[in-house]
Amino acid sequence: MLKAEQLVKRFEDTVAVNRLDLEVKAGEIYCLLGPNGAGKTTTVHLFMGFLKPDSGTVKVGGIDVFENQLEARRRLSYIPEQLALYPNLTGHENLEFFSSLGSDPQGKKALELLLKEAGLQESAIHRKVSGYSKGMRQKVGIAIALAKNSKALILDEPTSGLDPEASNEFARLLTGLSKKGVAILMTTHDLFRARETGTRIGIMREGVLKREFKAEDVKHEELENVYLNQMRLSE
Amino acid sequence: MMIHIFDFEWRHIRTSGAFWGTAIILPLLIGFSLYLGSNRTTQHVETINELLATETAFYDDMRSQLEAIERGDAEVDAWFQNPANPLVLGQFGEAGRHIFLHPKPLAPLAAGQLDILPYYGKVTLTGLEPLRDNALENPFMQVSGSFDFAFVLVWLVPLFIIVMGYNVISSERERGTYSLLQSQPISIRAILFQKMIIRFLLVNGIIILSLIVWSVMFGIDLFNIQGLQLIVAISLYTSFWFALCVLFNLFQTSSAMNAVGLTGLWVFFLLIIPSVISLIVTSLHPVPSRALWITEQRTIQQAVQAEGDDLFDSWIVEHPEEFVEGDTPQFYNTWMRRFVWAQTVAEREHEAERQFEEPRKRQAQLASRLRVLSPPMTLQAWLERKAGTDTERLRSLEGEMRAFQQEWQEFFLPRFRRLEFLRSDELIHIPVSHKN
Repeated sequence: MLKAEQLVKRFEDTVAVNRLDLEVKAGEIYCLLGPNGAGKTTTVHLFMGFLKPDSGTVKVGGIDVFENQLEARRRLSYIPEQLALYPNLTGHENLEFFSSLGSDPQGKKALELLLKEAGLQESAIHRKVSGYSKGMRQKVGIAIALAKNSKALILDEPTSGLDPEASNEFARLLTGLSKKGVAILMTTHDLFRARETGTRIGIMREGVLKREFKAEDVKHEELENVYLNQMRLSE
Repeated sequence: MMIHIFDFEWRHIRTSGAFWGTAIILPLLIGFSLYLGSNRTTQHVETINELLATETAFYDDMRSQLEAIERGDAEVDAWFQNPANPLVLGQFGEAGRHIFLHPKPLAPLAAGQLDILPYYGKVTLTGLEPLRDNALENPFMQVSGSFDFAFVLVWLVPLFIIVMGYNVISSERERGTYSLLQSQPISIRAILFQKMIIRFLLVNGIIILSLIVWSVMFGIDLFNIQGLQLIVAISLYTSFWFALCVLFNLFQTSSAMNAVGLTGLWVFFLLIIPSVISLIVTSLHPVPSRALWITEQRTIQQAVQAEGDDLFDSWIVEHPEEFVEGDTPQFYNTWMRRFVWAQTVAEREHEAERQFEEPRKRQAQLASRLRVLSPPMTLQAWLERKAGTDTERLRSLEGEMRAFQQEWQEFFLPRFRRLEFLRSDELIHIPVSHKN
């Protein structure tokens, strides 16, 4: 569903992403690990079409992100690290707005159901977003993805700043989505969550995908050791 | 989808101070400017009506007196009180006609050059006197100009538009919602245009609605083709400023940078371009100073005075049929001299004036061509033309006064030169300006 081939992105003299080959299939949760500056966010931005690659291709459901950007985005949802919504609107109104951009608006009840499905408490649905926690905002983000009926979801460090309970709840939501066949690419520093939630794990360093595992094939300690080794190498 | 974005944008806008500031202050400014404009126009109309009434009363009085004399019911003590005397009817005291530039229907919208140039004047046999309502204007007004609708629209509206539109997309970036917007299957440009269109509709709506409401209140007639043209002009002008806001929002610059850039353009179009145009036209077509013109007028008057009797004698030689010789009243000889001198002064001044007037006309033509560089200046000039307060129209007053003076002289002077006094039934033939 999500596929990068020989992806290269340079910022002046720095190669942020170097000949990256990465594929996330439908129903997979791919957790991309790596130290700060490894190129994780750049990779996400390349998948989203926010950045143009120097070479290589990025496809979503077989559609080239740069050749047919709007069509690719119909199949794709994105939750940034700090998901900002319009604070003067309610969660429901934010969902109504974002889900209507580029597609037909849905009814009030349908949107309420989506928010509930995303795990937002019923009492919060019609409250202004200015009072929402990060976890609640991310649930709205998930609801936006559900409303779009996206085939793929990209998340940039979604669990940073979440308390363990919220993080756990969020992981359950992602697992639920993946079971519906959504391909999920998620960057994170949270090794535990990556192993628990992910179906595959990749470790990036200096723009290169250094290691890839199936989550079920690696124990937490092993993953930690590999990751720390990569960190040391980058120092 | 557009309706949907409009709906949400409206929810955002209605919570912003910028919108409510615009929605409250702009109508008040428009209302105040139209109130002042309406007062100014009413004052002009009252002045015109008052002067016309005075004129009518004077000539009615003259006719009554003349009829009384003709019936033998009254006598005249002195020649200068005789209502049959062409001098009494065409030159002295309240005699003469006022020529007016009547306010156009849109006059309340722009004071234009009314601060500087008169809109009416008095014509007598020897006099062309442009007049003002107040001989000494408020010095603050002389410096700042009048507060009128044209000022609000041309100068202040762009500032409100900048406040409403400078950060339409940059604020999304600063708020953090930009990446979520960017990830949706719609281009940021499409979102920007739709957000800007609703702002344009709101600001334009506020201006046009305020204009219509206040105009109805102050009796300004906008329900005609000129009103429609005005609405189109306002829409074009606000579109221009919104287009600049769109342009700045397309660049990935911060809200602060956009605000500074747009304010810089405001300064550029409203202050710098007019200054540069002024510099260019005055450099290419310098107009001699007013002091030189006054000196020239004095020189002409002194020269005519010095030529004195010689000038009159040669006029008699050239126009023997227009002078009654023999035992004529003293005032006849005196005033015949004065008329000849006045005519000579007028002819010489008219000739001399050309050298002052020609560069001014060339200046005006060049300035008019260069004005297209600045949409605000173009709109200002258009509004003044529609209001009838532009320089060209106000300067045309003098030409109209001269033309009417010729008609006035043609009626009275031949009679005076033949020492023919008027009968009461002839008074209805005294020329009236077609303008009035």
